[in-house]
Amino acid sequence: MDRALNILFRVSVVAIFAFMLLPMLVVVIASLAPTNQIELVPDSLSLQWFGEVFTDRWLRPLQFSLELAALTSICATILGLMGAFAVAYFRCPANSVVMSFLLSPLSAPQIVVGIALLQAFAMVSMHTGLGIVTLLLGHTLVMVPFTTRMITNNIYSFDRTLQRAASVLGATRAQTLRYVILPLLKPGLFAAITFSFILSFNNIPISLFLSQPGATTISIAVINYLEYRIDPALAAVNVVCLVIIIVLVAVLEKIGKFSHTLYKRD
Amino acid sequence: MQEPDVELSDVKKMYDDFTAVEDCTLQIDRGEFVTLLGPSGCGKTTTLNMIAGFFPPTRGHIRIRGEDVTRLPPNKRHVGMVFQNYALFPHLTVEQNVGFGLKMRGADNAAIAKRARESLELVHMGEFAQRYPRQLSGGQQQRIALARAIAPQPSVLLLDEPLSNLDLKLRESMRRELKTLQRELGVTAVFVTHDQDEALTMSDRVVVMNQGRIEQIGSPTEIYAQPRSHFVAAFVGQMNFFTGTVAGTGADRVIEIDDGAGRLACPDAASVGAGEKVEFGIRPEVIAIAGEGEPTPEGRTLEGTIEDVVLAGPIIQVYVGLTGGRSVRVDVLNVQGGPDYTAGEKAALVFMTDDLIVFGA
Repeated sequence: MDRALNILFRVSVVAIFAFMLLPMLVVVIASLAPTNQIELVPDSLSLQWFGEVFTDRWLRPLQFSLELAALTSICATILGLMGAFAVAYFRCPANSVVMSFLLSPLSAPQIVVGIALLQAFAMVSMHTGLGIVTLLLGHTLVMVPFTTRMITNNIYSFDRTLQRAASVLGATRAQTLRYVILPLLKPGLFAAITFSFILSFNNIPISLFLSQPGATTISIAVINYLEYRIDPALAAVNVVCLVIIIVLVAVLEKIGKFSHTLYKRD
Repeated sequence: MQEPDVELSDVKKMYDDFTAVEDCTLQIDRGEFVTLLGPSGCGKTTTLNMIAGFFPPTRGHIRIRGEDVTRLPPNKRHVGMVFQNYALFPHLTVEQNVGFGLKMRGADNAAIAKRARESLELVHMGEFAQRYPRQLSGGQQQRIALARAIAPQPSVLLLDEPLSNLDLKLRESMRRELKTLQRELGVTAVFVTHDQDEALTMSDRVVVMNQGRIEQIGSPTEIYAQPRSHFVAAFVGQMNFFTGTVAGTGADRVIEIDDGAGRLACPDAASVGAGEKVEFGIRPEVIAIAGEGEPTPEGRTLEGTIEDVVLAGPIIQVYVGLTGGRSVRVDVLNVQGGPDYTAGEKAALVFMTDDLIVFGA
């Protein structure tokens, strides 16, 4: 019986991974097509479509998306850190209310948030000419719930006695923050940066409403392109994005060692 | 007269309506090892935390080496503390943990490294300097926590149940080691525990606390031999309690035990008079069971029947039921060739009058 369960478990793990990863494999194959047809089993392979990616048409939104994601992840993580500190360190009966408020952008569909933001920005005449600023505000808004949550979990996971230990040893509050709390928060901060970066980079619903000519993210550029053409260039763009994300996660994980915070509390 | 190293005057701590500590007045001399002993919730840890400065008392003053520190934050008090769960910094090596206090006080790197190494040598952990806390056993982490607390040469060392997470054998050897180290360093120590054995074996003085108040302050010998209240007598060591009524006067006073269990002569030192209701206690190990043909003097003997015999390693616990149903525990050394005790047999319990500890009822 145990054996049967074990086999079932292994099969389902493989199935889940296949379900998650095979579509990416399809994209990779499609990007290597020698013709302008997307084929699952091409006769031969070619890198010609990647040449297409490295033109202004794609490089500009790609660069814009990277800049936006980088700024968003930094802003959302700083705000998330502040929110997490407020909730975790100030003993206040309203804490759960504050936490709910910080998480509230999650409760509305992002597309609704996008429309609302567009109207709000229009009302205060911020809808044109600001380019990255409105997008940054919108993206940061929807990322803050994630970063707050991650950093709060990290704070709750370590022993509060450590702060007492530091202060008895002569550390001021600032020194405790610098030498004890922030180093212990490193995994949470890196997890927050990584995830808000990825979520911003991949975001469609907010970007859809706040992108403008000259301030277009890669996702929106893909959607615009899709409106009149489907060819392997899109797959190649996707592969490039995929590689960027994988490299980024690998590098941040190498520095921040955050992956353990995602599945265990220690 | 040397000024006390730590002085608490009339300290009180309230949490909303709950009084955690009250009327706490205590002076601790330099180099003294004082233990706050009591059950959980008695206020001992709260008292220690107020000495450390984690929160201020609601009322009263705390002085360390003459300086009023009542309102000072922990980082300005220059005390050392060992926590129950050790609270080592997980992201720092052993050496960085031990050097943390000096680093915060702005010592230069060479001085920090030197002092950290010395402290680690004191706790015999020199070779673990480059490890991380998670790579060490509980006992080893305990030693590092101690080294970290003493490295900045604090005026007072505070110990919050530091041995309670260790297994029994290790705990006993750490007791002696900790005590030896404290004596060598000459540092004043305040130790919190609920373990009476720890309190008795390690302390110069024991402060027994109950429900936020100090019940008794005294040397381990005093606390054990002359407990001043029922609580202290019951909490420290084992005690058989009796209630009864005093009869007679002066040196002829006797205590008539309730339920007709018999009568015992009243110790001369007890200040009780005829007709007074009293409670008294007697330790299991000072009661003798009279052997065949041994004298059973009037006023020092109670008759009963052995109910149960329990072998507890070095001692045998003999439970003797008296007339009226009261059961008395007698501890007899488990020596080879000693008498056999069997449940159901008659037994005469012989007391030394001065071993009776009389409390007012």
